[in-house]
Amino acid sequence: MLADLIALQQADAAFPSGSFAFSNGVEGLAAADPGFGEAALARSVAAALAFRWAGTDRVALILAHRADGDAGRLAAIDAAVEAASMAEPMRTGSRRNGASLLAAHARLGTPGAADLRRVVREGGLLGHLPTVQGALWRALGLPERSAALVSGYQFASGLTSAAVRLGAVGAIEAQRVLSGALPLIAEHLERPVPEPEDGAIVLTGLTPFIEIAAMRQAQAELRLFAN
Amino acid sequence: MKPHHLQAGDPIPVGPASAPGRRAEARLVFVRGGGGTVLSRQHVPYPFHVTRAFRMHPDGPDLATLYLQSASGGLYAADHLGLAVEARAGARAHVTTQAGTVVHRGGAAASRQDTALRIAADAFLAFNPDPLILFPGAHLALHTEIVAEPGARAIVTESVACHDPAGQDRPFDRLSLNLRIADPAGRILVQERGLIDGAAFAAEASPLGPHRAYGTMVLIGPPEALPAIPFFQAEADAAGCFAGASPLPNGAGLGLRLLAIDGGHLSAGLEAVFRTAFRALSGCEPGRRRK
Repeated sequence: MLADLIALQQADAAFPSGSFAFSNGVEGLAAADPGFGEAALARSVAAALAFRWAGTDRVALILAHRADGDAGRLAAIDAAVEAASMAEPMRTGSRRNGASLLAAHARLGTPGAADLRRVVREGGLLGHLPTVQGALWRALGLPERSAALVSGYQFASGLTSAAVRLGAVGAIEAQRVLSGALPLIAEHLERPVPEPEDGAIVLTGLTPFIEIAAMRQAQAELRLFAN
Repeated sequence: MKPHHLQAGDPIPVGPASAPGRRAEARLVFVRGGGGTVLSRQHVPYPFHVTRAFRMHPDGPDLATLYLQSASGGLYAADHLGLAVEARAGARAHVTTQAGTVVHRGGAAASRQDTALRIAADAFLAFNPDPLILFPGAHLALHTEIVAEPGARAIVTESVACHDPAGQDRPFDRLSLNLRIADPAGRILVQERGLIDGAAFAAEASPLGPHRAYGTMVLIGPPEALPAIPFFQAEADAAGCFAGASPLPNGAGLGLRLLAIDGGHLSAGLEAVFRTAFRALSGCEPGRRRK
């Protein structure tokens, strides 16, 4: 029961995770398409969940959770996320969001957060968001499945809430898109992440449309979000 | 029963060891010699075929251009073809094709094409084959590995488009794209693995958006030699593509992604950005490719 409540706290938009600063490509999509609205947002969320979150963020987070605080293993997972992120705005966004989450947990006194933050500051870890989430949520006692569930929910709700703040959709439309994403998240969560026998970290993703939008938006003079 | 589309995170299917299909490995080694670039080694078994090396750059007579051809008309089910290209010290080479390569209907085992590129510190290699054309039922696994010494210069593209000769828009089966860039010590700088099935590729919620052709280009070279990002975007846009560029992870270079509604527009966009990349990294005006 306590773990469920902790999961709710971590998923709460009021938790100071720093994610409000990142649109993860939605701002670029909206800028590229004047007609960007509920239908386009729903398609983008579905594609991002299937072809970014499920094979990259979710897998990295689960492996980081299983690392149980092993700094060497976390660094290897972090390096794999970095190497798998060709689009710089997504890469730096993930690192900055990871740093924000880590700062909040260090101030809250979450077990291991201060040490992890020190490792990041000393360059032992890049501090990508899924790596940090996996490490911190394990330290808070969240089971692996709950951690993956919160990650998936935050990934989708981050995209929809960014669309609201951009004025691309209204609050009700955003919730409709989020409702449509929930069964997709549940479906992806059912897919196992086997522990590789050789320790190899295999991350898969294919989201060129949203990445290009984010790359182009990074060149724009006026931006609301960091990516 | 709800159909299960292959998605990111799913294991890449591997065919039985006894699967039919050709096995062939080709190797090309470019070296500096006699004031120019020459092929010092050329092992090109069937179905590979290469032309002789052409001199197509008046302001870069040392630069060799070589066309890679398929003598068999493309990739067939369970083929496993390997190509290794090496540009040794001082060599400057451009390897390309004259047309897209067709990937025919496959089976449980992928038609696999492995490309291994190695570029010495002061060498230049441009590798820009035309798009692979995925026919209905095609099952392709593309593996590209680049090992570049510090100071090396390279342009590498990989691209895919779909085509149904019957005009019925039947999808390909599966596509796996794998791109790795490493330094000579084996440190992985970039490691991309993409996996998608044909139905998801063409679906309303496709990760390609409304586009149906996709290409990636990587530029490796000293930061001061790499062109400014807005140039690429403008050139690809003018050719009818939706494109973006950004620095690659771990200082590996510059990465470009291009999307287009079809292979023709994608080829035009890739050609436009390739010319800019070629000019910047070779110092030569790109020769007009004879097709």
